[in-house]
Amino acid sequence: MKKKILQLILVLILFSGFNFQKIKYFTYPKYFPKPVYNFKNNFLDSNKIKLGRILFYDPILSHNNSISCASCHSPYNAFSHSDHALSHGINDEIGTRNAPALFNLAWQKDFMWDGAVNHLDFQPLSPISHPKEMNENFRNIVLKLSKSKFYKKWFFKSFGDSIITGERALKALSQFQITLVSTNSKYDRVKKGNESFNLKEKKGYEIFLKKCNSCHREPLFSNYQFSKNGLPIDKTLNDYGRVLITKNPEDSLLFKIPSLRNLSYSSPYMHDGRFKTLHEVINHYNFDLYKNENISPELTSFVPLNNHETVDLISFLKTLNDSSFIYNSYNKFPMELLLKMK
Amino acid sequence: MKRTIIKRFFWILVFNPLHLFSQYQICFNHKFQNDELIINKKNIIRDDTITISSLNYYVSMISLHNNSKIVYVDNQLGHLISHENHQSSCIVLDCKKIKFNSIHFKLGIDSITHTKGVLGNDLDPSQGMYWTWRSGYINLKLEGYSSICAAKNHFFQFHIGGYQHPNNTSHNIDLQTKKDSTMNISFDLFKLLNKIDLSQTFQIMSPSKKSVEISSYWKNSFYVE
Repeated sequence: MKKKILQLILVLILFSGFNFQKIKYFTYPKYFPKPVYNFKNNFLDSNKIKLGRILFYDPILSHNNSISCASCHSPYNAFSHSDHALSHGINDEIGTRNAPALFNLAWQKDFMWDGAVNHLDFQPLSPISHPKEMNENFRNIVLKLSKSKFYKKWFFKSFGDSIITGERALKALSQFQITLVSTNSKYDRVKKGNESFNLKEKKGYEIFLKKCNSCHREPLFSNYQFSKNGLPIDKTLNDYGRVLITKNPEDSLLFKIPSLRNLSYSSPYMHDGRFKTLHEVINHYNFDLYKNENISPELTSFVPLNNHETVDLISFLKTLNDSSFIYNSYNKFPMELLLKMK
Repeated sequence: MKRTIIKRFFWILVFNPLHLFSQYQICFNHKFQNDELIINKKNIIRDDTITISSLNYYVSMISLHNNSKIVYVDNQLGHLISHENHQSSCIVLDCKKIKFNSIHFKLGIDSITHTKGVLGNDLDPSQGMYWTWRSGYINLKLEGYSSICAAKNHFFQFHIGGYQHPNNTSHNIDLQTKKDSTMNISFDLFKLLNKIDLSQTFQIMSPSKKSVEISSYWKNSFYVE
């Protein structure tokens, strides 16, 4: 008996050494599907998230240290580029696509408007090396970071030693981006039973379910597939979307379906930012869709909305804005981290 | 920094002595028409002069077999073989004395590894062997000059990659070997380049039919001496 008690005490002492308390850096409501990002290969950790945040806001990632990720993905625009149809990168160069908003990335399998990137970890390589975005060689970034005492300290804090590798930098960037979760819009509060829609929003929601939900599926407001939405080709850009990657002619004009969350913050819209307002977007589906035969099957039977319906739908879409996400201090420029570790 | 490196070596010594006492290694010997490949050396063949300026490729999923029975599987996801960096053209296997008579490996990186997210060491994207404009490892990066090549400065560059059907450019290779502490596998670049009309084909840098075709020539350029 004594032996057993002794064993029990020993076991208890042993277990007290472990920290069972799990701090959650990534939470989502019950009505959300399971994320597709594999956390087993990149365990979330407070320091790695912070390091990722510092990197995200640091222009060291560009060739002449002038452009950071946040230059085109600003927190106050739901991490998209305000006022710019096409984003401008290094030396005021202008690219061919609109910078997409960044949130709920752990639920996404393909990245970029044409799905060129198959994993969140690799996504930063694209803008970093693009001659019109950050125009930097990734290997050179690892060299630049390795020369910085500040980053050595942060990599030590995050990974247990101060060796800086491309893998670690990309993992940290992924960690920060994964924590950009937006799940506190009015829609979410209604879903949780804490609030209710007004009449217009309710009507708008019903229209949404009938007309938009097959592609912009709730609760993420996108099924994150690719679709042809009938936009005429812009002859100055000649962007044919996914076919550039797959080289399959059937994929011509396929673009990734964006989420409708935080719409009010992420104007302008579409892959080339051609529409400034939600009215223009809905009018495209209302009046211009029939002009183009090459559209996805979900849109072939789209019946235009009347003016009342359009207004109701927009009222509903505005319930998808999440101001607590926009003003979340953990997502903004990491001033406090930079001051702490000078 | 130095301290951490010394510490690492210490732990490797203590816990993983096999690294030091491994029995076998596989060495990739690069050749050009049976001669040793020398970077930036002019190789004259018929009406063409070919110079190789850089050669890098991935080898993965190495296993040793004894009469079709697997006796050893390498657990590293990928090895970068770089001709500029001689240290990496030999791969040390973590195994004791075993019987085997054939070696299997994959040229390039398989599709499952491609979906794992970012990986380290030889597979770190900072090695310059990962495409930035789209996802995918560059399985073979071969660059050089050919006098008949119509490109600027007669420069040819083949960045062969692609992991999805129908553009998969990784290949399994099985070679019979003698049991030896160093297994020498030869890769004759002439065998590969001889199949390509360099006056017409000199720039391939994306997954396509053409890269699959070149990857099959690549596969057929390996042999045991």
